[in-house]
Amino acid sequence: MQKTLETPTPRASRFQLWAQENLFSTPLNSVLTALSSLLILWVVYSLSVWAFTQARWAVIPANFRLLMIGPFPIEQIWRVWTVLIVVSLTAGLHWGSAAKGQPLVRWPFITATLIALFALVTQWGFPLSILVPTAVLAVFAGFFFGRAALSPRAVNFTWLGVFAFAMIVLSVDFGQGGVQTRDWGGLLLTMILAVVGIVASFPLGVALAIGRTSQYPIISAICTVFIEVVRGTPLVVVFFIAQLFVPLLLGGSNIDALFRAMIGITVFSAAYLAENVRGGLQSLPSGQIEAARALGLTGTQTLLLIVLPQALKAVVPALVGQGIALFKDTSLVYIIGLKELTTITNSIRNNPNFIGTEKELFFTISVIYFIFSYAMSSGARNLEKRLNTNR
Amino acid sequence: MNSQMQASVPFYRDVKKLALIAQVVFLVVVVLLIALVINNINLGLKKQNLNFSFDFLNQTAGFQVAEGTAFGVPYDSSSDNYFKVVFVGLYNTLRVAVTGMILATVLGVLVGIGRLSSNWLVGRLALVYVEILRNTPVLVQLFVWYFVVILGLPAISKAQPILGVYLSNSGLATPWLVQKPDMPNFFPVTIIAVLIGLAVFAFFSNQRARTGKPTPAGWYAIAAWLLVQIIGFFALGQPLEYGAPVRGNFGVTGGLQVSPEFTALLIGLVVYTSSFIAEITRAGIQSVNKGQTEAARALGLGYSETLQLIILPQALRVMIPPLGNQYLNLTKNSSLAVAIGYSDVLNVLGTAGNQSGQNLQTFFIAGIVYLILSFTIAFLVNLYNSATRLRTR
Amino acid sequence: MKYKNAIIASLAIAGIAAGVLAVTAQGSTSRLDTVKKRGKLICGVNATLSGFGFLDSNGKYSGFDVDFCRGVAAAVFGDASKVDFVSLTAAARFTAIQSGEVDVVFRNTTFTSSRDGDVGVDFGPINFYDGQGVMVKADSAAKRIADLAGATICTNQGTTTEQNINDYFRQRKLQIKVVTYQDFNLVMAAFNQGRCDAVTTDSSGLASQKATSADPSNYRILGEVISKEPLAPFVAQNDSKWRDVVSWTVYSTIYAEELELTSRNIDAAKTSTDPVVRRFLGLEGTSGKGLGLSADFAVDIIKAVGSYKEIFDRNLGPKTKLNLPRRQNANYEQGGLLYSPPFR
Repeated sequence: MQKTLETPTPRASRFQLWAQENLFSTPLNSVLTALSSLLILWVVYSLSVWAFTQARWAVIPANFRLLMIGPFPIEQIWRVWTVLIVVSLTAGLHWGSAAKGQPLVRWPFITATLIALFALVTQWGFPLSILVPTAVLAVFAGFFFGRAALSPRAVNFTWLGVFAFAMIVLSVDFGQGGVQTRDWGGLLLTMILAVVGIVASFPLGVALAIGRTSQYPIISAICTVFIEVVRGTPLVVVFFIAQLFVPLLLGGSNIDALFRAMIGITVFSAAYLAENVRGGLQSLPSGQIEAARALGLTGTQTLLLIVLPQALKAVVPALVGQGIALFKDTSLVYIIGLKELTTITNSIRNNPNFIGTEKELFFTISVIYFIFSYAMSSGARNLEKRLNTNR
Repeated sequence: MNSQMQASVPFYRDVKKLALIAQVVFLVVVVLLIALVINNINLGLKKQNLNFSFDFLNQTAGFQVAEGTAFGVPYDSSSDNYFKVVFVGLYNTLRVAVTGMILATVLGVLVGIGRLSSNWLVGRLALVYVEILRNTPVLVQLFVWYFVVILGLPAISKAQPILGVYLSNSGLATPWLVQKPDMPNFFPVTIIAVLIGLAVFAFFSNQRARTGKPTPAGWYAIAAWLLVQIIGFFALGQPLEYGAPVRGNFGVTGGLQVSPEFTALLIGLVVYTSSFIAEITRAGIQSVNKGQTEAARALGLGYSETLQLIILPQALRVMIPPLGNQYLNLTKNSSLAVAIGYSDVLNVLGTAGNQSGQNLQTFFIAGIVYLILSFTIAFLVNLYNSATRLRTR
Repeated sequence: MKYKNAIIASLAIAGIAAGVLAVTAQGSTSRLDTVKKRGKLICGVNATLSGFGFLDSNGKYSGFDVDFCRGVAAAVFGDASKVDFVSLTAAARFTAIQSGEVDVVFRNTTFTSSRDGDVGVDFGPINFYDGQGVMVKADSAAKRIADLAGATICTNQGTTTEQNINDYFRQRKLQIKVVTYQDFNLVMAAFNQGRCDAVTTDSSGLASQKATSADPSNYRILGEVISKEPLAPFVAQNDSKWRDVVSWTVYSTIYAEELELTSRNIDAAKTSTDPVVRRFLGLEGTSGKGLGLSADFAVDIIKAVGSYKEIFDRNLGPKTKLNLPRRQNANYEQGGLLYSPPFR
């Protein structure tokens, strides 16, 4: 007895100590711990009872294609697969070049391989069981090639090419009929809206920020008014106005509903982005500019080579935050009837065969949104760390 | 002219003149664009025989608005015009936004404190709460609150009243003091009472700060508020009466009724915004120098006293600007009411536009209304910010 | 001082330039030319109303209104497949025309004076005569619409039904609550979850919702009809050339029924000696050319989508789930309201 007390097993002791300190340090803390545990137990219990005994999960596989690509014509689906595999490859390159010189982490490979094997073994039907493993292979190939031979900067430019490539492959007619943008839907449309929004709002936002901080009063005033008016208006109203006014101001010409939504989300996001960038511009000590000018750099050179790189670096977390917000905000095009993930979910749940499955559907799309947003925010945290170590 | 030297510099090398030229060119381009936009919109409208006039606001609306009461005055679809409808919607927006701001702040600060709790489990729980809510779209959350949670409650025909309170998928119905139909409007009294209460609170807390005497400012404020309410009640000849919900053929009537749409929107906005306020609170608390806590504890203050008296007041200064942004976001997000059928200003304007065919004007009005709301909130936040700013000597 | 002058001067320049630009930006052509140039018709339809306009899981549109869109494409191009469909909510349909996003809308839309006047659209001929009805759950206590006093009634935003239902109860001095949602999907979702005691829309719409539900016996449509809902296609205002094309497409289907022509027998009818038939088929007269279409545009329409009877039977008739009677949508010779002006 005495002996065991003196040399307790180290694991138990460490846990006990830890629990003492972190869970039961005061009577209040003990009560909080108990309440929290009850809450967690209750949530986990009711969630699993629902998930394993009540939920009708069949609605998800039955409508999987709708959720992923909406009304995209089935005979044109090769376009989506082509883009997916190219994006997988580039993602692999990106990941590989970023992991250059770092030890290999095994678990992503194991998970991906398992998914690929799962797709091969289970009967997902022809395209899925071949193409999902192909996409996984593409990621692997990209990873090892990127790790061996590419710099992260090169990959960043590759992304722009991939973006243009994807837009072309997803729509242009190669002889057997193209795909109308109104046939884009589901997660595919969500991603397109988010990517276009982020890519297009970036230059506009930076320009607005530079304009607002400009020493010229007229330019500064115009940019300030623009930024504040857009920021004072809800995105839904921006969408409505874009739907109504954009065609009118183009002289009543026919312009795609999706394109109008893209204009709306870009302008909206740019105004927020401008404020973030402005924070970065103003945080820069004026000595930087003075030094640059003293070295003989012109105003433009100072801006592009000295001011912007530092200002943007300082606001990377805010920029990623804006990107996440934009990604989530794509769901608002539901209000103007574009068939992205949220809209598709609402139409599936009114399908007579699937009435009463709102829990399953909303749970699934929440998980999808969460995965992408969370991935972006943890990516931002890593990036932040990397940028910090450079200092 | 003042010197020969200036004249010798050609204009394309004179920085001042170049700057002016750049600005003028920019201005010209902007004015050009605006003129082009206005002109093209006019031409487009003319092409379709439309005119951009607001005369329709005087027409009788003729459609029902769920929750059609503006500032205590009921809306009558048979006689009231579109202008009144806009006010009904604006009132509904304000109702959900103001309530939402207060509740979101309380919940957000609590979760934010929880994030920094010394209790590991509480900290993790708060983290999971924040991460889940921040990483999913607010629209999806609203759908979940409305279609899954609120409409998942038992139907009103099956709901059992608890102490006269009905909670069902037709909303919440509770006994309340309700306005008598032919009596003066009691609503302004409530507004005045709340304002007086706030003024009393400001006065006594200011006095407490000046003299250092412990004054229960909060209690004084509540007393003042209640007093004004009671005086107003008798001065207006008792315009309120007790009303309890009664079950009819369809749902319940009487008492205070809170619609499921309002409830879902309020909960959705509060919970979503609270996750952002929690992170702001955490950052605010962490910005307070650790020495402050240590000093307070050394002086013998307890944990909650340290938090309330030392940390939070200092953290608040850092928190106010981002908090103001969240209030703005909450107000703007309330426009998502249209997705769950709550009659906010955007929703009723949408209906008005469809019924009258004046879509351009109604969305124009919507934009103006939200701009006014946003600028008002920004103004109030700035006012508060400058009032509580640290005065450095 | 100098600065001020510069600014005023630049403003003046800007104003003039804007004026010049704006004048050049405009040109007026008929939508018919735009459509022909594009090589495809863009038609606004409902995507959620089975029988009229419905988008199935494979991304294919079908229904009564959809067939009329195909008919217009056949009239313009001689090819009914040259049409793209855009699904529109009730609230978005007029702005879609105003903004030029779609060429024509066939979306169970009620023809009213204020829409014709204030909204900035022009209507074609009525292609379906309807009336507003009310649907309750099968176990509801309500037998007549007036029994719903005190009830919550749901409908969708941007329709004539909002005012009709309000008028109906106001006239009888009864109270109701109306909750409106963006689209009918949400209305049915809220109804199914018990938020509303009843839903209201066009009777045909209710029949469609009921017929396509998982269990139609869960719902009951109350017997009364509270309004006139003549449903018609519409196009942008002040473009009579384009409206004529849409109008005569609808008339062609009605006229074909009067002449007992169908998609099957129309080729054989070319040997007919009846001058009425010969004019309809474009073998005599110049009606097609005057409309800016081919002489035999009616043949293309009927071959592609059939006569009104065929369209009705295919989408709404006794062999479909909806099983609607023809009633006022029968031809005038059978006591209905359908009547086509002559092709001559």
